[in-house]
Amino acid sequence: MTIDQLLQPILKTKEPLRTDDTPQTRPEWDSFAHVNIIATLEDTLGVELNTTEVVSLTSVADVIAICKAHGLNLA
Amino acid sequence: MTVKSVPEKTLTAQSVTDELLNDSGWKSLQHARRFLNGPLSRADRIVLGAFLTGDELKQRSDYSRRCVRVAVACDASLENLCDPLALRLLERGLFCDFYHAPFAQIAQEVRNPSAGLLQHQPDIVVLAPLTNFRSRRGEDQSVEPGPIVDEAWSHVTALQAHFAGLILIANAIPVEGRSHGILDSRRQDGTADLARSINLVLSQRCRESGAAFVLDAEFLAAQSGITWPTLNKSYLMASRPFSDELMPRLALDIAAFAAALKGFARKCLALDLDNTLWGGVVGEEGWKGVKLGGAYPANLYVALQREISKLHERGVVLALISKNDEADAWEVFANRTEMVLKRSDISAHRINWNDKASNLRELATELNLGLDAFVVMDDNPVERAWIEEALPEVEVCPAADPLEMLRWLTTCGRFDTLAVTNEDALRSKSYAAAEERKKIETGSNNLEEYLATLQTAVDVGFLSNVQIARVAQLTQKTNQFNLTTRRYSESELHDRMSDPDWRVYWCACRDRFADEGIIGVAIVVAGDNCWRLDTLLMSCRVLGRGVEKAFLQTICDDAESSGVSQLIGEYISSPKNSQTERFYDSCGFHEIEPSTSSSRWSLELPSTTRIAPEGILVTMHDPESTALSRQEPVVA
Repeated sequence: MTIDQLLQPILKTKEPLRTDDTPQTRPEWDSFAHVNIIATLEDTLGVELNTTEVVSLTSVADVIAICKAHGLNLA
Repeated sequence: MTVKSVPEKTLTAQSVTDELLNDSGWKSLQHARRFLNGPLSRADRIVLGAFLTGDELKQRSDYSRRCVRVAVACDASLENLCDPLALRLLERGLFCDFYHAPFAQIAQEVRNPSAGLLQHQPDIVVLAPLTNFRSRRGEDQSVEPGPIVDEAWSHVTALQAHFAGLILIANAIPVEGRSHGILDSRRQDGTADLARSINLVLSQRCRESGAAFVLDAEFLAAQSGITWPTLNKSYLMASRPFSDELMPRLALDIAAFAAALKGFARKCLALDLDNTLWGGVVGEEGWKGVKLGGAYPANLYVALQREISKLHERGVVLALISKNDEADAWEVFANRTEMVLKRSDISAHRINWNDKASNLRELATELNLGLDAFVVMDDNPVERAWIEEALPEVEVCPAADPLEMLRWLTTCGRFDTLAVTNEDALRSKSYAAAEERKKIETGSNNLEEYLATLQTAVDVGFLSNVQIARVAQLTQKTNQFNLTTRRYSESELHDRMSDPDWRVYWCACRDRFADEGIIGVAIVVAGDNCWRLDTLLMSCRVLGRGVEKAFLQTICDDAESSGVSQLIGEYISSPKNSQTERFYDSCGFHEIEPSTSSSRWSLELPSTTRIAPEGILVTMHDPESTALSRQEPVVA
């Protein structure tokens, strides 16, 4: 799986994502999408993210890092 | 004949959305339903949800007929209802136009006609004013449910001033857990008990006033066995009190309300026999050998039959469709005492070796129902796939395992209606009587003679509270003999009942074989000199017996005696009502506004044309008359 495959459907976009993208650089990353990103990560990784992880999730780089920490290397 | 296996097309969210755009019928909807039955990722649900509530879909030529306008207001946020609801409506062949009131703005939105909620012109309003019920306790922290329900209910009454559609109100779930742990029920102020008592009061209000229906979040949360409904991130991060696990279940109930309102409820359950109604194959094991009884797994089939029997009591028509020798099948009905379903519960059957799609077409004709009124249960995946492919308007229960079938049937909501009336219970008797009638028909030389032999009696009267549930149900369910297909809720009818510019008539019918109860509705806009038939409909069960013409005759007579000089009939074409296109023509009306999609017809009064056939006894009841109190709804 790639980061685009993971996030594009949630953000309802076809624009490729950059590692340094954040809610500030991507207007489609609103609070609604943010909750969906966390729920999707939990579905995909099969774990419930803890509060530290949720709070620290503020960029595409953080998404990749959380996946990696749970054993999923995004291409 | 053997049925060839249908190659399964691989469906994706993309292929489903493409097809929904390029097709305007049941085929694409059936493929969508199959996709929804499979394992869906969250991304699939998000993509589909966005598509279904977006603008692109509005190009579909049947969009407006299938569109349900839903507006939601909550004391927190129900944003996460939108996608699940769009998917559940899609399963029912419906599309969703969704509006969510701004966060915690119920009071403002229901009272202001220019606010977004009412501007959305909803068919259905969902209110969730009790998700935070603990904070609504008074200063004294009283545990009386009354005042809490009063506040919630005030939104319903306020909304009614501006809105005549369907109102659903979600009941309370103990969102923050029990305040005293295991001692909660020992205390006067326990949260769990408070939620329960609030919900009992709320149900009673709904039942007694008829103003709203309960959306039973408490039941659905308990049934779904989900983890704490609210101690989840989406509540704390985004103020969504109903979790993502609970929402699809709430959405399923809302979709059932919507389908009932829009005339999309299913009416007939067509059942396979071997490994569906009983375990094993009767043709091989004989009636003594099939599995039915008190012990597992034979008790699964008994439990499934009980569930089917409950639906039958609610008015669902039962049919059998099975590849068997007919005599073998009836032996099980006759000899196995564990059978819950009796032969007399079955309104029609095709037990033979023909292809099941053709058999279903024949059943639809025989029962005078559309194919889109059918649900099929069959354990054989090849048969299921074949029926789905050949008849996309039929819904096929996706389960093969008897326990899965039982679960599906118990929770599917496919047959739910907004009221259960006496007519629902009369329906299966009515189909049996139809068989008897057919025998006479073949012996009669002409229609008049036939009708006279039947001793058909028609009762017509003005709408009162006694008949309102049934009359609303008829406007919601009748598709074929329905000249304008206008749907009415009980509260809309209630308004028209007391409005001197409107006249709402019901029509009941009985003959020597069956009492059909109320089977027809006419709604007239009564001007000084000219009356217009806004609605004229008749249940297909009684068609072909002259009742529809006797009903129209009665309305003409009423118009004439009221001094009206012109009666105007309207016809609006729908995919189902083409049989009524020339109805006014056949009654001596002349066309004044010809058009293929809609037309207007006029009859000048007084008229010498006799519309009703001879041989039908018609009784017109006074508005004050309490006649036909037997039509009182069993359940409002």
